[in-house]
Amino acid sequence: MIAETLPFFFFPSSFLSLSVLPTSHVALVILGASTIGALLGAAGSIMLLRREALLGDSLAHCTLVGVVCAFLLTGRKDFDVLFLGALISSALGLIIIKAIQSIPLIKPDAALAVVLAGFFGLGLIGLRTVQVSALGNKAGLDSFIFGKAALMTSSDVSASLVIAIIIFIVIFITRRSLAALCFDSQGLVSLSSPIRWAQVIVALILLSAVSVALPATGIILTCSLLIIPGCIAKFVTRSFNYYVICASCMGALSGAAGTLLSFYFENVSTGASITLAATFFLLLILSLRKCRSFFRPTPRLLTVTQERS
Amino acid sequence: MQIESTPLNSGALANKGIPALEFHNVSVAYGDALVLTDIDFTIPVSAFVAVLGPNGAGKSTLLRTALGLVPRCSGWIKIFGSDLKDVRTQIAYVPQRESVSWDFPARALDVVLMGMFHEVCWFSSMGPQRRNRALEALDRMGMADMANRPLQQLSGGQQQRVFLARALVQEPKLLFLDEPLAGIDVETEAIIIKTLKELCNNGATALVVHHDLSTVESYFDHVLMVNVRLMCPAGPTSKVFSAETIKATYGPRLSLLEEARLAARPIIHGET
Repeated sequence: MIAETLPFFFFPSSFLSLSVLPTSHVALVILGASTIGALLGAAGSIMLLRREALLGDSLAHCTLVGVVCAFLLTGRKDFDVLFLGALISSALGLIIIKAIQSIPLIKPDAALAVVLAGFFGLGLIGLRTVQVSALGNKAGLDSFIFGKAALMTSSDVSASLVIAIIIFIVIFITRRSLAALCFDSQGLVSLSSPIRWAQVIVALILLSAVSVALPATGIILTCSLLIIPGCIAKFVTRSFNYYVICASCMGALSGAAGTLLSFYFENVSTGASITLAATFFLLLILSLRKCRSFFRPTPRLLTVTQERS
Repeated sequence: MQIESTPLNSGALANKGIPALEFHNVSVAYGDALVLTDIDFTIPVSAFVAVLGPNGAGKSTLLRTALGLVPRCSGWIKIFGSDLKDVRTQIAYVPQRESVSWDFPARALDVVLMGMFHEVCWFSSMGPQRRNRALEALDRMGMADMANRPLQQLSGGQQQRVFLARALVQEPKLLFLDEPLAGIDVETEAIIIKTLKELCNNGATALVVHHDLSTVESYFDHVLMVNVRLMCPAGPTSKVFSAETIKATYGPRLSLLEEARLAARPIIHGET
């Protein structure tokens, strides 16, 4: 049924689920969680550099109302329906955020908060409507808040994989415009039209990453995976390309490690353990840095002062 | 050496009398507030121009309007006699240093390479030739040994020099610099002014937002005075940069400063 709605997009999904995807459920969920982790890590790292880290957070909250509406309209809980619902409502949220931010006297963070709260409230009302309604097949829809990564099916995983591959190709093609946009969006006059395009592309990357992730991993996990891998990468790398690569690797690693943990300790939900794994990696990097500067503090201080003079 | 390689030959333009930059009745507003009203001036090719005016006079807005970053409500702007979109690759812009997040994960060399991004296809690498060009530009700014230094570790003056090196590799015919001399040391200021003067002697035109009235006469051969309420006087420093225009631009409050300038005491700094 995926192939019916979005043939050009999901064409390879049946092929993928047949040949490449692992058959064991654990391996499948690990693959899915690390794909989503990589995707969110890459998208979030770019937002982090643009100082819009909380934009992803707001958009993730915006998706709830779209997911609920999509379910109410179609009565189905399939990936394609929920993805489209999430995409449309988060795009709407983004447009409203940008519109509010253009009003003088309202600060950008206030605009984010307004839209986040408004859309999330709407989503909760919708969720309640679904729960008291006579619709069948409604069980598990409330897991969108905290995620249900452990219940991913092979079609979910293959669709996420395809979208992730497309997004990474787009990031590779536009890497220079993205770097220029993140560092200095106005200084490069000769590059102004690619930069304008890069702004649109960044928005599209973020929207589709959040919408892919949400049905599988929930709002809370989406937010944490958007921000933490980028923070880790910032400590490790000194070039934009490696920064994005490192952030997506850390996202994937957190996804895999968290999934393994949640299968090992049976009562821990996957979303929560993925978030905890990401946080653990961040703390690990921070303490490693601390150790390093503890062992050789003086020479570093000296070089800095000498060169600054 | 850069002049022959491009279709827009600055020397030829100067002979024909086509100005480097021409504003005609340009007005700009932020919301309801008019920032620039009916600005009208021409800048000749190869001029080294100080853009002067009190805080909030619209100096930065003037540059950003010329670059198409701020929409204008009326008038037209010509750069080398053509529209902005036809001459984009001939223009370099150095924004205010604070407008950029310097914790960006990159080395000084990477920032300079950004100036050449528009020359390269998306799938090819920057190549050793461009890398050498970037290193040369850094060397010209006295930053050759800092090429591999992460941006976070650069001081304010070094950041400014990296920015200018990025403008240099674009081999611009027209340069806009927004307060390049704000908060930097004497050595960096000397390097920046020397490099810009060289560029202008080779046929490039530079507009520099400047605050220090005491150095205007020694640095710049042209001035452009910006004030919300006034027509912009523009022209050679010796003609335009007089006690009357300074008073008219900065208002009577600045008479002290102006007296100090006439007494030739180089201790004044433009910020009031």
